[in-house]
Amino acid sequence: MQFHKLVKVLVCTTIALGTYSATAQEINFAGDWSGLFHEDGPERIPGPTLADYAGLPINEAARMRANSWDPNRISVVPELQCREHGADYSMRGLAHMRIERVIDPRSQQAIAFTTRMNFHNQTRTIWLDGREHPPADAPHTWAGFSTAHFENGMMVVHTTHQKQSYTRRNGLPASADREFWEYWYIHENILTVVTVVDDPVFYTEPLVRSQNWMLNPALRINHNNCEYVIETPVGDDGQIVPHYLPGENPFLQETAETYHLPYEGMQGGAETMYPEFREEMGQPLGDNRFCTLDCDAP
Amino acid sequence: MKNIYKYLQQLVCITLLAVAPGLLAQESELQLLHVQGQVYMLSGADVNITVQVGPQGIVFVDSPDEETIPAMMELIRDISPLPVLYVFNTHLDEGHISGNAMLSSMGDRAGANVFGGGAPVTAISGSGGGVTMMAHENVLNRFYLTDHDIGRLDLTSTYFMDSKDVQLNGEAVVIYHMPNAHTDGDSIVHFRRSDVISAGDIFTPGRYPEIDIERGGSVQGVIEALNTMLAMIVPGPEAEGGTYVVPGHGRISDEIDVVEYRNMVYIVMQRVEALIEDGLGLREIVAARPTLDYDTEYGGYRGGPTSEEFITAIYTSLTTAE
Repeated sequence: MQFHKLVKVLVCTTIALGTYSATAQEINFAGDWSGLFHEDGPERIPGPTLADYAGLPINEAARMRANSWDPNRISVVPELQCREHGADYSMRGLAHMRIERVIDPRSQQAIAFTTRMNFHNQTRTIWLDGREHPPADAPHTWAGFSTAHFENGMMVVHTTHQKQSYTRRNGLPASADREFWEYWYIHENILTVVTVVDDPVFYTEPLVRSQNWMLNPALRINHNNCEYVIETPVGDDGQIVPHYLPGENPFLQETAETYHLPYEGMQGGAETMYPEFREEMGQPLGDNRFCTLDCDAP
Repeated sequence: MKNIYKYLQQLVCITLLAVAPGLLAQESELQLLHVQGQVYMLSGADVNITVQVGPQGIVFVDSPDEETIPAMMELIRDISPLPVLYVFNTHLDEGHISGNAMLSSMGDRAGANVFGGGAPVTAISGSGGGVTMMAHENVLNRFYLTDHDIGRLDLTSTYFMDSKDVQLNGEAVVIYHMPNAHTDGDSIVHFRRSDVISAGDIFTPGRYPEIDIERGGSVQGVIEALNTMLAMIVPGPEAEGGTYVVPGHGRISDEIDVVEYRNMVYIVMQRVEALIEDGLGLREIVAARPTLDYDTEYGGYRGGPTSEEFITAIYTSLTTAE
């Protein structure tokens, strides 16, 4: 229900903003920005635990894909080692970010922003010059293809053509068919980006999240080198692509047991995004060993 | 107020309905996309056609249906006025060979490199335009032995070893046999200087592989062929770009796309294998839905086999393997 309210607000906002587009003011986001990780910190640093998909609008295909994922895959399939994050995930990840503005030398108008993050030298161009997105069969990239315009004090970015990647670094997939929209705006020295990711392959509803950065003139983005190495030629049982057969992953309940949480909730789905889910989320697993506050609460 | 509420609800539904299927929709407009170097991909036909353009002429990997060829040539004429030089066929599927006859008449080396002497037979007819039409020997064998419904093939030459190489438009081009993959006559074509591999139907991102058991295909052969391709591919920095791959259907790809595809085929094969070992029959295995997590990505939305057809092909491959 909450989702529908949100979409209605977005639609109304979009309609309202559309009438102001003719007077939209361009914003200069150029600068060095330090990522702030107060939102969903445990997911982003150090990273998600296994089989934790709570609060994500995934379908059963995404859930099964993630439940069969074996982290050994990265060691055994060396081609996976030097992947950048997808552009949508990179906004969520460990993202300090340098933003530069590209100026057309003749018109002196901004035609693009480029962003650079240190993880695998991820660079991205966000075009402002009204160009079309590439044909569907053009190559997909980690950064995808982004175009943007300004609306009522925000930069609205639309990205297509990303490679298949991950929604979370615990095997939860993201398809090459996904698109996402971003809403960039600045309050004083804080940059906020709201992302709306729509993945028709793995989501039942769009995934809406927000991220923040703080302007930091002292920030330095380092160069990052990666060259894959074969760590082991095959995984357990001689698998060339490590994975768990359905029903055989022994670690699926580990997080729920450790943190005394209901397993059904950890398995995600759109319903787990909403407060109503608390009524039906089932009993927590394990003991309450890490609890420090309100430990007897239902 | 109630009307506005209803209107907004409708708007939301329309927006969501418009966005989601659109993401999966394929563009049907014929387009010539530059891949890399001298190589292009014709997109929007029933199958992808690889096109190499250089100072000698035009080289094709596979040929579209004859209705598509005039529009295709119009696009190509924007970048080259030269005649057709060479046509490779990756395998024996009508969609990939049906333009052979028309393309074979578009060369300017009449009588060259023709064995079969231009005799009016349908498999090796000899190219009147002097175009070399090349495929693996098994394509020719299948045409004669089992595929009597295919009217013409128009090959001028075949190879029967593991590979064959030729210089075309100033670059080394190597055609490799991929045994018992999609069929038993599959080839991939490597344009070495352009660093592009044309994969035929061994690799079809967004679609399950069509494993043609009747024509000698097998899931083991598909995985072997994908692994062979991966060994040939050199990725660019950050696992992006480098060697590009033109698939039989779907988007221009690079190493990581082939890796994800290989992983999918391998994982589903292992699941089916485990269910066979558990004593399940084909019908029970299909009912167990071992492709559930791949169906929304590969399961026939863009054409190609359904999940049941894919599972059946794997089951047959595994239960008939020696």
